[in-house]
Amino acid sequence: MLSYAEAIADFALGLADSNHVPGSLTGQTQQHLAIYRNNVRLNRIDALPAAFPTVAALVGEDYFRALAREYVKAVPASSANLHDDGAALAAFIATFAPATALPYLPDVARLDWALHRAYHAADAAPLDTATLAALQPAQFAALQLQFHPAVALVRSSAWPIADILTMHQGGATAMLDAGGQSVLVWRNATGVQHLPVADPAWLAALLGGQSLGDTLAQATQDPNPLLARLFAEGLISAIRDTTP
Amino acid sequence: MIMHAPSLPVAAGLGLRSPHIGSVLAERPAVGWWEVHSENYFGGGEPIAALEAIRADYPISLHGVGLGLGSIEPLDAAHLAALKQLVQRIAPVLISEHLCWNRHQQRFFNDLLPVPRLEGALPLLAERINQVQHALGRQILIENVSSYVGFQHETCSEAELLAELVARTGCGVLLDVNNLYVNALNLGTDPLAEIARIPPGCVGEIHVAGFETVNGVSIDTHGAPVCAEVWALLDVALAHVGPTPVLLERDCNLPPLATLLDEYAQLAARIAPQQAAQALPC
Repeated sequence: MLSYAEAIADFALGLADSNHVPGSLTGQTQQHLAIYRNNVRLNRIDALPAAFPTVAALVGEDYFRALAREYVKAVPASSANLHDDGAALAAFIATFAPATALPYLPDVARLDWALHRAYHAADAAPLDTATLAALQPAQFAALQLQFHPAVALVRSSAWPIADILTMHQGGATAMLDAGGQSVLVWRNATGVQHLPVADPAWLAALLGGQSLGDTLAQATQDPNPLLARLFAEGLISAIRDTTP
Repeated sequence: MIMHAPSLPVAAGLGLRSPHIGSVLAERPAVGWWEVHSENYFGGGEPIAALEAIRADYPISLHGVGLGLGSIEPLDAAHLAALKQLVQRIAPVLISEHLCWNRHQQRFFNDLLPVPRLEGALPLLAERINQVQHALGRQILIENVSSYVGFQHETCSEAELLAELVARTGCGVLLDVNNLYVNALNLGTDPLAEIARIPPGCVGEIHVAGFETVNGVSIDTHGAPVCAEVWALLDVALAHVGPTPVLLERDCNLPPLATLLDEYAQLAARIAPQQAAQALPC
């Protein structure tokens, strides 16, 4: 007679491997394990389009469903929360042979994922104005900024992901030869926002934890309007002075 | 020591799904209370802000689908922490989870998998329920699930397991009469005997929902109206446990809110006389 743990192990094996005969189950119901195998896959497949609306729009519903089916088969779920599923979809698309004709798809998937994560990200209060006001200009260069959890910068070296996103939100047709683009994603009181960033290197360094002085030195265009926007939108949650 | 949560109004409630949130905020329909899936409100932003706005006008019950209490591996600490944060923010009148498991060897299965009622089930489940109640600082209700399989040599019925968990942990029971009926159809379980095995004082909430039949198997999709047999089981359950909040759940084939409110009115009308009659002092 199996123990509780042995029966669960047997059932789990049957979920992962359709050739496994689950001896823990009664004879009449062994074949019903397929219902669970199916549910486990379908629950994920059904949830994925909401997280990747631009990818789904680019490839069409049937193609996306086929893609999602292969993804779910290849990558086990890593969370009980379906809103967390899809973190590895962009990387999966990059290895998915049928998608090689759409080489921009992985970068678009990364942008969709950043927008999705921004929607579900935790709330965080902006840095209080008193802390800001107390800063001396001499301190600025050594500051490290901590951002609101919804903030993300998605960079594509080859594809116009900002234009593709705008096109699928009703904007002008994107030109695939327009070159690589970067998009800043964040959330404010009105919802998830995005903005193309023409000079992303310094911002990427800032988001990566480098000090203001080090990052602004990398700017090739005037960084002040974007920096001011980050503060104005309340996206800086904390600052740390890295002066030794 | 488990703190008993303030109870729901002894009235009908309705499952709240995200496509209906806009209508609920705009129209504030006459619904006794709402139940939401906890995981849909993990994190911040728009979902939790909407739920807070609804919470200002209605009691809320949080119904978890992802804790997987019966899994062999330890509880997912991040999941429990997210639930705790949600509980602190929403102050729900009830918190419930399912009698199920959903993880094995770091792999998640996004479904409510039935627990084998075999040696080892009781101590593991009791420990996990205690752990959750301790973390949240209050009682949770555990719901019986629908099942499509039976395990060999099971030592007790699901209701007997729930009754024992109540005795060991002070948890409550969320009695889903649709699940009892689905199990009767698929596995031959006697739903009346199962209801009789539930200690009346521990049931904090009852669920009704609809199921669909696929290839001869009754599947608990919450995708159809409540059937006559389940309405009848609800009457039996209420007669056994006394006046109790009852929730109408709908997930698949979600109709417009107005249609769902019609079925909700049917539930409210059905339970009103029984709830009122039983509420009279003897």
